[in-house]
Amino acid sequence: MTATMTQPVTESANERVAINGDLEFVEKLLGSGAAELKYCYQCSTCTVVCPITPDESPFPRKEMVYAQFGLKEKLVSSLDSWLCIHCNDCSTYCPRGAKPADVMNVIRSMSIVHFARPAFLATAAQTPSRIWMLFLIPMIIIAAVILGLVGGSAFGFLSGTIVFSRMMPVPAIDIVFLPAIAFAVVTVLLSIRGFLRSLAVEYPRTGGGESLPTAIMGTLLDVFSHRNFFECTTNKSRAGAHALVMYGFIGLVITTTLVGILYYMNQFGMDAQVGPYDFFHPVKVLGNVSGTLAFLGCSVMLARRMSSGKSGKATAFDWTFLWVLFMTVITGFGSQVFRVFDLAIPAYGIYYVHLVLVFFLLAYMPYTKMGHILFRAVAMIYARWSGRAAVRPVITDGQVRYDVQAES
Amino acid sequence: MANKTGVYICSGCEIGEATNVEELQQVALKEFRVPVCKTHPILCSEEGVNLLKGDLENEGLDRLVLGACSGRYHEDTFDFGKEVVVERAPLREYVSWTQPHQEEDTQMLAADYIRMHTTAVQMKQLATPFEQNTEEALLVVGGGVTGMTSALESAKAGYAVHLVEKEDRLGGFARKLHRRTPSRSPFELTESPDLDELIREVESHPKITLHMSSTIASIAGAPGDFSVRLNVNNGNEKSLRAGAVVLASGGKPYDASRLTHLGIAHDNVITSVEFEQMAASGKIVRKDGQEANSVVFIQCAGSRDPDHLPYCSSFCCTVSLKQAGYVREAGADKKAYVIYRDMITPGQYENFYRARQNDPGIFLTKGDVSGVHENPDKTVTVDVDNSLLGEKVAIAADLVVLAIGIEASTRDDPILNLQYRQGPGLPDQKYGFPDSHFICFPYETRRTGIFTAGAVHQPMDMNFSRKDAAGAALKAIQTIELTRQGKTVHPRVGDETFPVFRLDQCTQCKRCTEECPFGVLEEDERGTPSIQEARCRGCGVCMGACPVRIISFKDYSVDIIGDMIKSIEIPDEFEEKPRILIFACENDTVPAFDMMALERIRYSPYVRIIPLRCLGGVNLVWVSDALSVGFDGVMFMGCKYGDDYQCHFMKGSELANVRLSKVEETLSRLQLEPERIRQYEVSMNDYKQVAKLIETFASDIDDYGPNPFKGM
Repeated sequence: MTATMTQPVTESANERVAINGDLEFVEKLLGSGAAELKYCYQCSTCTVVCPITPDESPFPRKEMVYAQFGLKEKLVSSLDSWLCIHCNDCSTYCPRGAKPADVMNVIRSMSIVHFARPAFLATAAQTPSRIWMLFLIPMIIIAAVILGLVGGSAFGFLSGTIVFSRMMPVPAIDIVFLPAIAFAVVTVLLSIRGFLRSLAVEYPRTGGGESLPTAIMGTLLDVFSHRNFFECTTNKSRAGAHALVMYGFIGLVITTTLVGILYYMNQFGMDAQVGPYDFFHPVKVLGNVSGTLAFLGCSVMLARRMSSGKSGKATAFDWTFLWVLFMTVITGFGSQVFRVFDLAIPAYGIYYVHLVLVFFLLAYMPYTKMGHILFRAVAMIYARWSGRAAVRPVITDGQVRYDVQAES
Repeated sequence: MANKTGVYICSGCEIGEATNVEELQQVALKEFRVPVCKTHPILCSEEGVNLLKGDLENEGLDRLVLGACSGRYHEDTFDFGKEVVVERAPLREYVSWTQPHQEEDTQMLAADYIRMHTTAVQMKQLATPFEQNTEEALLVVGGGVTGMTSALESAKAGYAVHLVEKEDRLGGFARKLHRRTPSRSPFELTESPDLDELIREVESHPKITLHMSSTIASIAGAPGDFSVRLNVNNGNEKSLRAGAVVLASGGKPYDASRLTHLGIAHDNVITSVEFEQMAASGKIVRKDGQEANSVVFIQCAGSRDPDHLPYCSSFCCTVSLKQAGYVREAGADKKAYVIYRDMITPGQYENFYRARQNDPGIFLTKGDVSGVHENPDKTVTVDVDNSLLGEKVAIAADLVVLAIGIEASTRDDPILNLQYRQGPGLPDQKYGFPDSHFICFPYETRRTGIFTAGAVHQPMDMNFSRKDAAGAALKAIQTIELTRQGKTVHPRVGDETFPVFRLDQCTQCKRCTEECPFGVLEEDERGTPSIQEARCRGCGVCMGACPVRIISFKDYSVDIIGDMIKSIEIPDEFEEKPRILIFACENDTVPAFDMMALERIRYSPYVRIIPLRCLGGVNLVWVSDALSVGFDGVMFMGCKYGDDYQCHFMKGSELANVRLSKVEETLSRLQLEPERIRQYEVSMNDYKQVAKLIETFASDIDDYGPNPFKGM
């Protein structure tokens, strides 16, 4: 089977692009959650109803025809697929049930996998029958570290006060997680480099772009305000849920970091309290509040995914990510609850699972949907910087206005 | 024959409230001295009809004027047999439902309608059907799917059929098909052309006589009595009679050799017809015999193109979707591209389109093909602009298929070889297809009793052709049955009046024989016309054409209309009471006035409406009649003409336009504004605008001032 080629035909001077329908890639898309892709008959209702597409070369119609032709290069380096926030308005109004929002979703996962290095990890993350391998790695590493530490003491930490650092002291955690994070950072940078290179080819910078600092600031504002998200109509409640999860996890990351900082401050003789903290300690409060937010957000998202057609079809890629997130929160709370009730085996057992899940989230960032954090952020910044997102209509209360984001 | 008229005025439907019915009675009794004039509160009731029946019997009446509703209502209620002429004065539509009640102008209007129609009824004569020895066998020309279906449908309905086929076997174009597009629910799967069964049925039907290897040498005569001569391949001739003809000679694929801009000269560029035969032969290959892995289908190849066929043939998209399936069936890795301008999949073919769309190996995009190039390895690259892919693209393939359209087989060959004064072929209206009026009369041609079906009628595929074949067969049977009774066919179905020529005054100018839209009239060497009644549709175009006014119908003539005009009372005081005459075509404009009445749309009380069979029958003497009695303006309202004509008789309103243009000169000479005479194109659904047209015209007439001949 031939690969998709989109390089210019040399003999024609007018930038004619050779198209070779990639049947294999079309079939792959069809099998990865875009099963209705071929229903599209290009009426363009989707681009008309999309609340956030730019006027010029709007999405998702063009992505639909690219997908029907299997134009892999165009799809995996699609900036627009990352500007789409899967609000599902297009799928709701599509007269043929072609579900453009789901197609965009599959394109995003294809994009993550396409740029991920090494590729086999990404393939494993996308293949339901192989995901267990990804869990096995942290299971073994963490178990080995614990066993190595307790050595012959025959699980002595099981008796006495439950303190998780007795099973997995902070340095041990760092031995496992700092390399995991470093691995994630390096591989994510590789992914993003590939992504940016493709973007530079497909979406050259135009005159209307913002400066890089402005673009970054604007993107951060967009992300923290969930501005685009709240423009959805079909899937509005997801915007709130996503905000809960996002702020919850930011809080949890800060909590974990604070715990580590306090620990090392204490180790270096400074006056800093180490855990376990009591229930009203600020760090504890931050952790529990953040965990609650994340729990609520994940619950809403899971419930909607399971019950409502409005959120679009979830693929294995989506489910894995959502369940890992949810279970991370649940196991976090579970460890705390069993510790408080002084049930050592469940407490330590659940904590172990919690560590495995956190490892999964962090280390596999470039291979799982977790990668959307970076891909989307990069795409949003790139869109502002390149001028792609410079002018776009915003519909509020039925009024169309043009929101000029570019610097004048 | 006695000529005894009764005038009856219905006071129902607000007529009694709108007018003083007694005064109307006085008009009939005093001005026309009719022996009987009565009123009834509901004339269409059983009691009312019995009153009429009783008077017909007891008073010996043979003519009735019914001052009631429009003649488009209660036609059957007021049918008192062939011996009674019934004239309808539409007091309901033209007066009580569209005018203010109990006003002087309203009363004058109603009185004029009584005058006009009482005048007319006294001049009308009883209609008599023509007599002819009617042959009830059909002639079906063409032994393809359409012709066979027509023959079989007619035979099953009990009519004998002569089926003429030029080749030595039945089947026609369908024999070339590999598969055919779906005809059955769910309309997603192609089907076998299954011709054998149809052929067997046709061959074995006792009512069908096959004339193989034969062509039509000539057809003379008229519906019910066509004399047909056949040329047989072996040099023999045959003669037969037929009552009606179905022409099912099919179409011919567009001559692709002219499509050089689409690369037809390249080795691996072929037509959809060639591709179909290739698929039927079992292997989809390039010219060098290698398997074709990718095939590009180019839609609208030579169609919707002013340099080639300007129209859409409607089936090529479905054909390419079908053929793309052939490519895919050859292997899971085979690819088919379809480049279309608009995906045209009429009716249930939408389901077929969806099914084909779902095949991942069928790549569909809208786009304009701007070039087709041959590569050194003999593959072909198709350049596509304005594609949905958003840029100028090039698609390389092993094989390119041009989806070509179709032309009528009658384009260069009259086929039927009619012995008609107006020529051997069927006149074509547009694009070379012998259509007559595709909206109202889809199967009719401009030769009465001769119908087209299938691809000679308009571009269509086998599934549509079968339905078309059945429809045309039914129309042919209808013609035979009406002709047997001596009646007119569509659109004046059942009419028994035909043009009568006072030939002693004929100047042999040939205008009638030339202008008749249906080739009804033949002429001798000197140019004297003769009529074949069974061909006539009763439009009266000949009556309008005749400069010496020798053509008339028993109930419709230059004199009858002229006397109706003269019967109208024209008041001298213009300022208060101008008068406008409206000639209204009965096919669209009269119904439009009835619609206005239904919606109680008011218009000027100064208009007087005279219905015409067709504006094509307008004789210019009526204009001078109207002006000389004192009308201030005349409006002619008829069908749209030109490319999208609506005229039931094809050319009527267009001819009226030509004739009226000649009046202008005369008016100018008389120092009259030519704008006092105007023609309007009105279709039935324009009825809401008609009042506006009248208002504008009336206000213009106001500006011109009174007709100076008024009162002279």
